[in-house]
Parts: sequence; structure tokens; C-alpha cells
Amino acid sequence: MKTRIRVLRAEKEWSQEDLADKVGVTRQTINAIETGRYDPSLPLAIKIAHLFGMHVEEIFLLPEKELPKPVKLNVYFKSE
Amino acid sequence: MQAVRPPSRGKHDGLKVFLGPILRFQLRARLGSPWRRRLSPLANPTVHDCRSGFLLSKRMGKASPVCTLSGDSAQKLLSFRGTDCPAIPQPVAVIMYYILDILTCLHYTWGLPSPCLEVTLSETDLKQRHPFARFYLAAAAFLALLGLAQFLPSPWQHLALLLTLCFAGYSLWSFYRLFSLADERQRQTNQQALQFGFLATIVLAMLGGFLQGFRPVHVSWGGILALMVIAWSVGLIVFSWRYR
Repeated sequence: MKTRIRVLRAEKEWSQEDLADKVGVTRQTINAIETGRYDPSLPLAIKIAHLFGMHVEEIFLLPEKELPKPVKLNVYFKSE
Repeated sequence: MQAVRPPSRGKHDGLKVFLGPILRFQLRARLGSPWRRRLSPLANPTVHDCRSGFLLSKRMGKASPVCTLSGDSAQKLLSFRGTDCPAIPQPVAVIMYYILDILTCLHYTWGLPSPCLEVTLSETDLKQRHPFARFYLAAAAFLALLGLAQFLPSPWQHLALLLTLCFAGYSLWSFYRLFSLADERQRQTNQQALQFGFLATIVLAMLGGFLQGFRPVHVSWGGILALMVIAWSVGLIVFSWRYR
């Protein structure tokens, strides 16, 4: 999973330690998330997104290959 | 025609030049590799890695550094004791500058610990370190006393067994503390290590049982516990390595 945490962190001038303290994890965890070695849990992702004032999907990005195809809704109307 | 001289760098000229590569290395270590000239994989086209190791952002159509050595974020990352170092004369400093730059690049490439860099431990690291040490010490004392109790005379044996129970309780409490202080990644690592530890112990115990069919081998409970702790520790190292 790709993340924009490093960019957002740099814009806010926060170190990994600062961000880790704010979301209640260790610096190593933030580093693992930034380098794509660890996918955060949903609560942690929401916490990080909330901290930057963004939506989760704006920060954490899945490659398009891994995304499933959107389901098309087939709506049938009864003909009278 | 008068030659244009670069502005003076002040009294601690040599020191600044000496520390330059170290500071840049510290920033590079946190912001990414310095020699990639490509779009950042961070899905933001306005931000790219430049050779200096800093992130650049195109704000209002003009490239401006987000993170520089003089910026607050850089200053937080950089820690050195500049006042204690003596000033170094300019030619020597320049040579050292280049040597250190090469060394820091080599350190960065191979991930070797640099003797020049000051590693700071956060409060979380220190908090987590103590339960680890306590757990290992209590577990070692527990196993040692369990082994020793067999050779002691009757009144001392009871006392040793009582102490063994105390150490067992303390090691369990330390283990609980270790779990409670861990964040989600560390808990996941710990659970994987526990799985590995249990599986390794089962496999080795079964192997021991199988070998006992051929030749009676006495395996004490203490040995199995020690095996479990060792297997858990190995699992912890292996699974922690994955996130590094």
C-alpha cells in the first residue's frame, strides 16, 4: 500500500516521532507504514487521516491492480 | 579585477563543514535515498526527491523547499553538540567533508551504523526496553532456580520453589506489561512470534518423544520452557526484521 504520510508530515514539519506520539504508536511503526512494509489497522488509518484533516483514501492508496472491479447494479423494472 | 570571495562562514567554519554530511545523512535517512532522480512514489506529482535529499514542493508554481536544514523539522531531527568541538582549518575540513560524504553514502547504502550519528531513544523505546529485560531476567532466574531446587536439601528446596513461583509470577507480569505497552504492529509481531514459538516447541517436543522410542532421554519441564522462550525470541527477531 502506498501512503502520502511522509509528504504530509514534511509539509507540517513533523518528525516521525511527533506523528507517532500523536497517534499513540512507536516511531518504528510510522516508519514501517511510510516504507510500505506494514499496513495499518483501520482505527490507526482513521486516526492518521483525522490528524491531517483528510479522508483515509486520500492518504492510503492501493494500486489499481489490487482494487476489485466496481459492481454494476443491474436494476430491473417490472413492465406493466 | 578583484576576485569574488565566498562569504565567511564564521568562527566555527570547520565544524559546520565537518558536520554537514552527517546532518544531510540524518535527513536522507528519514526522507529517502538521495540519488534517485525520479518522481516520488508518494503519489504526489508536486513532490519529488532531489539530489540534496530534501523534499521539494511546488507551491504557487514555484519550487520551494519543504524541509531544509534550517527548517524546524530538520532542526528537530538534528542533534549534535557543536559547542564542544574545536574549529578545523579550511583545507582539512574540505577533505574531511568529502571523505565523510563518501562514508555516509556507504553507510546509507549498506545500512551500517555510523559512529558519527547520535542515536536517541524515545520514551516509548525506553519504556518497552525495561519489561523486556525484566522478562528475560525473571525467566532466566526461574529456570535457574527450578534446576537448582532439585539439588537442595528439604527446607531450602521449599524456599527455592517458593522463589521460583515468585519469579514465574514476575515474568508473567512483565510479559503482560510488554503486551500492554506494545502498539498494534508490535502486538502483531508478538502474536506471530508466539505462534512460531508454540509450533517450534510442539515440533521439537514431538521429535523428542519420537527419539525416546529408540533411546530413553529425560527431558525436564524447565528445558521445554527454556525452549519455548528461545523459540519465541527467535520468532520475535525474525518477524520484527520483516518490518525494518
